[in-house]
Amino acid sequence: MREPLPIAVAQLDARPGELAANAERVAVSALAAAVPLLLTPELSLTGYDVRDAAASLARACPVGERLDSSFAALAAAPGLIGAGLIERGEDDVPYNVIALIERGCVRYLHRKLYLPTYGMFDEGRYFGRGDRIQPVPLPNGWLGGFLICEDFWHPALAYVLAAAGVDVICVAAAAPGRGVWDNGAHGDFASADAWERIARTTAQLYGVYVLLANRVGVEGGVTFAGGSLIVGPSGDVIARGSTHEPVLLRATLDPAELARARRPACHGRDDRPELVVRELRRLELA
Amino acid sequence: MTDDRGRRDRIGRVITGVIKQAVADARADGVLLLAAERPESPLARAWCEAAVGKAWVISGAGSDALTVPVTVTHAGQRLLVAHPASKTTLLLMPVPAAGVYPLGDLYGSELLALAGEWQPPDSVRELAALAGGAEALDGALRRWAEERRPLPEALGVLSQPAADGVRLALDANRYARSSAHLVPKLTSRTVGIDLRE
Repeated sequence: MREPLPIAVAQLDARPGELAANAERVAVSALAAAVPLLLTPELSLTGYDVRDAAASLARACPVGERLDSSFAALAAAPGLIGAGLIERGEDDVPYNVIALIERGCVRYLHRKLYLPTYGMFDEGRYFGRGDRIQPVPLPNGWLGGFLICEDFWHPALAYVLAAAGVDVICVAAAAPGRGVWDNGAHGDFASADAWERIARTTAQLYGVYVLLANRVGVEGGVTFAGGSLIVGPSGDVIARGSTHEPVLLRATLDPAELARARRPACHGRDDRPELVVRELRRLELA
Repeated sequence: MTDDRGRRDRIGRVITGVIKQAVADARADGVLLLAAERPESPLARAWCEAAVGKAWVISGAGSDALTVPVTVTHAGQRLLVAHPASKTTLLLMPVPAAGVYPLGDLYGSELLALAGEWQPPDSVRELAALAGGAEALDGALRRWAEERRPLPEALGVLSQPAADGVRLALDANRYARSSAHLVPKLTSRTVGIDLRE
């Protein structure tokens, strides 16, 4: 039985390679938010464009164990914190992950499945790819799913999470801003509009809350676009971050609202994952 | 607030943020702005001043030299060297040396709109004249760079001499463009970041 779940989304900057300072920043946000669940951006503990430093910044993240002392500040932070860091896998490969951290201990880990390696992105050179998607129990009886940035642009992943019955999809992103000559609908960057369209569509299609924590700040010539979001299960925007500034967005996820959003159309009830699997196989795509 | 003013403020916020971080990353105290006599330079200067403070922006003489240190020391202060080259210039000319190009993702015609004037190097000015003006030249470049149309199609709207001139200039500077390593990203493809074609 779900109970209302207070959550927060921290739209933060992060400095590449400054693990302790980044952890302090995340911990301060968690203390300020004081909620059972806080979501922070992709690689919020390491910085984004670390390139070949990924190997030296990677840390072992076994579920159930305490994180490396570089992240000591998180031990004093309340609640579950979704934070981005670089995991050193058992195979010694660095993975771009989001970890659910409780008092400095790892409770859950999602490895990024789709590593953008085109245009300005070069993640495939430095990170290994994840190969599984796993819903995770959250406080107050909620079921969540976690995606990292490019993962969200592959709608099959949100579909899998929805089919698995999640109530909230949490997306940690480090999305750069583009398109400044003509601004976006709600901020300086037109590129943020696409993120909002995807978040609202996903929320409405699957009747789930969508939390999007995006980076702000600058790395090299790139400005991260902010525009973090909390979207309700009817596709309505509950809270939206500004373009450039760190901000803490808050909401209380409401089981009644979830039920209301899912009631009229029954898309979730009528969905047929077995049909999707069968047709993918018939078309020799799986 | 007019659209132009809003646009200028919006662009300025992004560029100012990049300069501020670039100065911090370079452990510099301020900015040396080269080619300060050009009419578009006050725009770059204003955004540099917004980033580091008026007293920390030093104007330098015009320089399109290809070898200038990324930082220089002036009166005991470490300064990050900035050049006000436009995207049009960075695409069509050898990249003048600098540590940061505040205006490097703005086309010349956009600088014309924002600053009222734009004074490109002679060879770029000649290409713009052949193309029928800065707007036409930049329109063709934008079709290629941002709209990702094949180069012949993108340049097809220009006269043959202009198209030939632009093609030659793009070819000649293709790999040199990677030396413009710090350009505030405003568009989908930025010289030095993800526009090396």
